[in-house]
Amino acid sequence: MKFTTDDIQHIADLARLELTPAELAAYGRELSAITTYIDQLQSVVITDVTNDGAVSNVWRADEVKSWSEEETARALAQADREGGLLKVKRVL
Amino acid sequence: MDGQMFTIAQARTALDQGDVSSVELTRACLRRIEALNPVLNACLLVDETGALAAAAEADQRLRAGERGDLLGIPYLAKDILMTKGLKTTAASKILDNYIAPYDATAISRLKTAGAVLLGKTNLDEFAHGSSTENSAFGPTKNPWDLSRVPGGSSGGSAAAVAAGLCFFALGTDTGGSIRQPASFCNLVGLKPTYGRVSRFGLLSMTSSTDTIGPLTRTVTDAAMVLTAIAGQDERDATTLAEAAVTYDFDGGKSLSGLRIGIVPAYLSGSLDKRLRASILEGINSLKQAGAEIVELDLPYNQYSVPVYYVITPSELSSNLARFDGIGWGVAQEQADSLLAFYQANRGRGFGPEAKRRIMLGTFALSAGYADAYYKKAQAVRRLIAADFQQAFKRVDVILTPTSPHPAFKLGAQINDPLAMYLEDIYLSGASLAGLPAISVPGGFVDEDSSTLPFGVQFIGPAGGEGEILRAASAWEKINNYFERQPHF
Repeated sequence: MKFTTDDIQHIADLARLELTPAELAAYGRELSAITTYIDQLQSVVITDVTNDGAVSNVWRADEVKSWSEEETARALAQADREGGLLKVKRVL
Repeated sequence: MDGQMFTIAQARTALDQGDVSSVELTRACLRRIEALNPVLNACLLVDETGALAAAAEADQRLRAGERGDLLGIPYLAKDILMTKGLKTTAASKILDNYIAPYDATAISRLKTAGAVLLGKTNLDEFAHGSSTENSAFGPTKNPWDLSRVPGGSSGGSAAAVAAGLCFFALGTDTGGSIRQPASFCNLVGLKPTYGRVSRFGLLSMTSSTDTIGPLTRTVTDAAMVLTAIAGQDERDATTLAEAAVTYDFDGGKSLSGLRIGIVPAYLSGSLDKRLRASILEGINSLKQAGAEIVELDLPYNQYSVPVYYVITPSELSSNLARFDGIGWGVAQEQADSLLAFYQANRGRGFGPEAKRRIMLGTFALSAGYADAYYKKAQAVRRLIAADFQQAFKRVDVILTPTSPHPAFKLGAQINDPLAMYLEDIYLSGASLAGLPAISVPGGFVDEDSSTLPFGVQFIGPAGGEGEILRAASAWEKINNYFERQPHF
């Protein structure tokens, strides 16, 4: 498959990646080459049996379990904090 | 650490007899890291204080009469496993300042066993690669030839064991990342059955194929480490619900009755002619030692690399979505909206290969393309697994080359992503099917005045670690390639 710069920009937007014009051009070339190679899969004949969903959900009870307070404190110690709250960039 | 004592088993005997202490072994490793790491760039972090404290504790346990395979043995862990209180970077700038608040299950099991964590090893960023050149912190060099790559993505772990910086190292293998560097560095690299070792605390890449395993010098050492880290874990629902397994592989003494499959197509094509000649000779010696050699066809395995490079980017594009630059990593302050903030953090935080794979996976899962790419790949993946299921009705293990060639030069393939992906040609099938596989030293070739090692791979049925250890151990006993060390 051939990717245009617009295609690549669209994928980058979906992936939340800021790319430079040079990166857009390079990924366009590389993804075209890689997907052309991958396209050999289209020739594989899939019967209904192999396409049948072999995957199922596995459930367990949603139980609260306690976690080490010391390890929780270690995790929080790395964040930018103000009072008892985590400080993040303005979102609105 | 002298050259005479370089396996876990040898160190074990010396520790148990009181000939050496864990603190002495640990100091020797730390000195060797200090001397050689500036050249190799195998370690991203060395925790001297923590290691010496753990070694002193192991010595106390030994003096109190406690015994155990890994008690007091110094090791290194790939820097994609969480290690409490230590930086865990995945060799990515996006996690540059991240300190793990808890241990991965594999790490905590080794801690309980009394193994001594020396530090963390280099890798391709988020384990994306086959050369360790995709690290944000510079490539690792191969101790057998410093102008060559050690393989990847567990290249730091492989280079460290090969250069004697530690007695074993943990790696991770998603599509060959333990086996291929083992091949390039004359080591044993074991990828366990999917679910054999808990992935809790492993930074996820491809959740459906990620595994954790050892890089060691010998097959016996690999079995010791696997025994310590394997087992069910309530924190990883995909771990196998089996009681702890001990790997009684008979020390590889007898091969009689072992049915070894070979795939003729794998011994031609892109395989280096020198490797082919040597591997054919090896197959002959296995036959003479009593093994039955059975020719096989794995028709759908020819699609394993294209399937792998749909499944893996798809899963990792989702797994890496959590890295947004908030909480850790370098936050880009100038972005003026939340979206621009995410895009800037991710665009500048991830390296070229991580971004390439995120893009490829995002495409393969996107509206209009998911059926043609992701769903098609999952369907072919089941055919690949069925290939193996059929094969293991006829054989106990399958022997293949590990890599089509010995270690390549630094920079030789870095600008050709597709060539790099084809490094996995013999490796990704077992990963997609969740099967155990081991690379064991397979011989040497001379190239540009260097001696370069290469490996052979044994693949087993799901849960068949015992079979591949047995075959690999027999191969090791016939050839003894592990005894040769790099001039370093």
